[in-house]
Amino acid sequence: MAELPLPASETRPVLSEDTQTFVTFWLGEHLFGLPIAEVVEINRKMEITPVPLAPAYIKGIINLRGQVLTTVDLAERLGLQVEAPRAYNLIVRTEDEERISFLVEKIGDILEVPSKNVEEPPERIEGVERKFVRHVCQLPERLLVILNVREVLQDSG
Amino acid sequence: MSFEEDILQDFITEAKESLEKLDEEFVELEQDPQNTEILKSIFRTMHTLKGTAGFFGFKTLEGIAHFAEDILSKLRDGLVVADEEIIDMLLQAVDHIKAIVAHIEEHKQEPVEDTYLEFLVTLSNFADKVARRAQGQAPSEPPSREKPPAEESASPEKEPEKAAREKAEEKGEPEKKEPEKKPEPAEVRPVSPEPPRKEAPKAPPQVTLTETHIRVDVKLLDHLMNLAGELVLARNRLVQLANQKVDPELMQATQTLSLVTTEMQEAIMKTRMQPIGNVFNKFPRIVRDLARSTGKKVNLHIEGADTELDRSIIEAIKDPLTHLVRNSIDHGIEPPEERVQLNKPPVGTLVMRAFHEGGQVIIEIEDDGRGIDTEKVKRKAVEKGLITPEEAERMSDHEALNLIFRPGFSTAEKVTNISGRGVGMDVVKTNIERLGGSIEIRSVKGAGTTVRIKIPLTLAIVPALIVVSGGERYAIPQVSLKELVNIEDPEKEIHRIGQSEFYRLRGNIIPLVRLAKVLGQSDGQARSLVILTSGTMDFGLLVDEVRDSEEIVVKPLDRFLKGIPIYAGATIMGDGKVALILDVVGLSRHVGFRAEEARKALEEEKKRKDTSRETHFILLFNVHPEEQFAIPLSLVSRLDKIKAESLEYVGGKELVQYKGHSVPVIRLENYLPIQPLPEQEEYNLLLFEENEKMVAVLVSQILDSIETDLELDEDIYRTEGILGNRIINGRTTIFVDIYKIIEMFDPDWFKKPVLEIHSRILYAEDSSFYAQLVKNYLEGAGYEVEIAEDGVRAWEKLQEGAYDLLITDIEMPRMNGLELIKKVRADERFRDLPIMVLTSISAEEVYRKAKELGADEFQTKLDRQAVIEAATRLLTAKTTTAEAAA
Repeated sequence: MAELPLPASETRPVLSEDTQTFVTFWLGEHLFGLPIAEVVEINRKMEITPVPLAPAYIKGIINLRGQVLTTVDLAERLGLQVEAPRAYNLIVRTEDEERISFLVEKIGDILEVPSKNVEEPPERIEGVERKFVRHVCQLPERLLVILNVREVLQDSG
Repeated sequence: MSFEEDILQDFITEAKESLEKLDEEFVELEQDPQNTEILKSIFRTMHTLKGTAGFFGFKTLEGIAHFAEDILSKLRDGLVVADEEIIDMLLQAVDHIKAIVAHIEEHKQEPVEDTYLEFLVTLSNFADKVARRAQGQAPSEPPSREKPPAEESASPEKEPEKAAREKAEEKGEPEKKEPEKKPEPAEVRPVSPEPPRKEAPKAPPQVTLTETHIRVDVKLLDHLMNLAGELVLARNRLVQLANQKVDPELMQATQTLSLVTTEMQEAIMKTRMQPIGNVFNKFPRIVRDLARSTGKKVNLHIEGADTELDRSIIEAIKDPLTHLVRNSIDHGIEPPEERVQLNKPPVGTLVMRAFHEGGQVIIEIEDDGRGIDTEKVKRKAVEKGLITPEEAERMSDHEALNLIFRPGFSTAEKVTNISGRGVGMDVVKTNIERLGGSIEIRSVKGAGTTVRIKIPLTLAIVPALIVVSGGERYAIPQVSLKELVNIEDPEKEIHRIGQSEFYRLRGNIIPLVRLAKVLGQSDGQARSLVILTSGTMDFGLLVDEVRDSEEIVVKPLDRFLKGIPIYAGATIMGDGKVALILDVVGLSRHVGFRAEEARKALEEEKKRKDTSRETHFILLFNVHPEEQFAIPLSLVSRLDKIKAESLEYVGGKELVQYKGHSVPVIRLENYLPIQPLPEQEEYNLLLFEENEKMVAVLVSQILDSIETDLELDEDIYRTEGILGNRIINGRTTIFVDIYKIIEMFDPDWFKKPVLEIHSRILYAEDSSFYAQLVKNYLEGAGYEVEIAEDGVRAWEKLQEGAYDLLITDIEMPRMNGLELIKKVRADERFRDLPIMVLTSISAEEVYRKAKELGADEFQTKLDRQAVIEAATRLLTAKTTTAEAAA
């Protein structure tokens, strides 16, 4: 099940520099990233048990080898209009060592970028509330939005 | 007995641990004599040791610990610096304590050898010395060089060594300490075989405190527990798969695995089990303190302290138990003087008892105090607005006792510092319920109170019922399950009051909750009813489907879902999918009405129904076997049987001799178009009496007397003397108008009032039977009678035509009699209209109300004569008044 995509080799040309590695994933047109240290594993098509009465962005609970994890539909949480099915479960470790599963559309590359390119978010980011964004990183093609997991999970309990 | 041994065992285990810790800490202290943290810790440990030793009455042990503590306090306060001499002495103290503890473990009592006493003296002197040193500005002189004044150990040499040696040699104490040689003490201390052992067979050095118990990190146990849970799940899944493939070998293997898993699960569960004594043994002290502060005398008995419970539960019941014990002493047990006056022993008894029953643990807290005054409880509840005075009146004692568990209730007359902490019994109850337990209270006023708590053995693995709603499975812990009911016909079996639904289970009204509704799913055809109990109330949960019962492993939900009260957690099913566990207490909050309120509502509804058609006892009889007749029982004066030969014909009239009178006989077939009475040897008589005249109706058989309403169909037999018919017991039954028949038999039977003027009466009556009956007899008396089938209709008729008298029934649909009277009296036009209230039974309360509203007369419907007389009286009076006015 676990299928961590291999790091794309062309994304690490700057070995000497101080770099950061992000696991990236797609939600519609948006490319998001999380520091690799925060991502535990990625699973596909896990069976989700819905939890009635839970907030709408909580899609349900899953069984991760005996551990019951809450699954958050990230698109819903971030308020993005995403039509495509979200088939990937990104298992994330929070600062408090809690584990939570984020439902995402598809997994992108694992990117290693120079730290200097990782910047504070601008005042306005299209489509995403600023508080959910920890950093941004301008890639040649598009903006990589690094999520603030703590914020994403705030007020969700 | 076993309890005392238990706590002694606890003491020994604790002491051993303390001693080990002391050893380590002393070693550390020697390396860092100024470390106050270590000093404080040592001091605390020694202090605790002293305390517990004192509790058990181990005097020597207590003494040694006391002096050691004394010395330690000086060190801790920085008055003396911990030098080798002092540390050595302290270590000796530790060794002696160890020896004593070992002795206690083996012999359940302290050793009596002189060695210990002598050491005690030495230690005491040494402590004095340290104290003096502390006073005499210790730092001025290097403390370690000072000579101890103690007799034996007064030596210029290195004190500790000498003291130890002397001891060893003279007292046969083989233990020897050489704190100077730091690397060694650990080895040296335990065994030093050289010194001759003359006396003291239980001397310190021999002490090897054998460990029968080891301490395990709770986290490790929890982890083990989790793994066991996983194993159970894996096993479940394997069993499922194995069942699909029919392979005997696989089957065999899975069965073995299954067995081992179960056993392992139990064993691991046991590692988390602790005797409840761990909590109970805190109570002697609590009780003692409480008793003292309240000026009461209480004896605490502890039973079943070795009953084992899951660790987490033990932790969780501590506070509720403390609260209950406080309550018992504070509110329950009386002060000694009061007890003596009541012929009770001055010392109250409090029993804490634990035992296993049906896979659960029962804990009882029983006192022989004053019990709970349910009247007082009710009063209080009314005062606090928890219940209405009417509710209080209706409440059973049991219900009243349960009021104590309502939030915002506290029975203490005044808030005391013991029980009145703003934490009520409701909190206790909530806590117990949270554990999946229940609490009940029994109390006999004047004799005492027993609180009974039922809790599950463990929280981690529970048997649960799997139900389905909206295509998803949910688990319901079996402890909350009472029974399962299959609803065949929801229309008939499920009752509805407003938005709430109910089910009648053997006479009890059980409120229903639809799981789909609670979960916000579209409501399917839920036909399976699971009767649950939340501890305080029973309710039914309607689900789509009920599956098997399974052992499930409870997994907590994480913080994102914790706030949803209807879930108690989640579990992983045999197929690897997650299912939510329902929280029965949380679900019970979705019950719209409580059963009590539902019962009330149902009763009221029933009353409404009943009153719109009053029920009466009617007598069923037949004349010919094929026809069934009925008559209101209250109209009949007497029932009797006669022989055929007692019937006689005199002057063309049939008579029967009855109690010395010749009573005229009526044969119904002579007046009604019915089949004739066949010849019988014996007949039944219905006797009617009026104005001291009697008439007998001759019938074949009395069939029954039943209670029924008097709703009649009037269309089939439109004949004089018949009021209508109705199906009773599956047969068409003809209701006989006995007044009419008597009148047909003898037109002069009833006294006719002399009517000077023609009067019109409006009679408001919803029962067609009465409407007909009363109308008939009033018309028989010469009045014109108009029927209105309810208050509204009567009011309308009053607008349409002129009436001289209004007669009204009380209970009617749309507008009842009282409302009608009120309306009539409020209208200027009808201020003088006489009103007579007719009821089927006399009811003081109704009369009073009707009178207040302005009714003039009250009669019962079946009392023909009185009604006619009253009508005549009212109409005459009216005429008179009208004439006078004119």
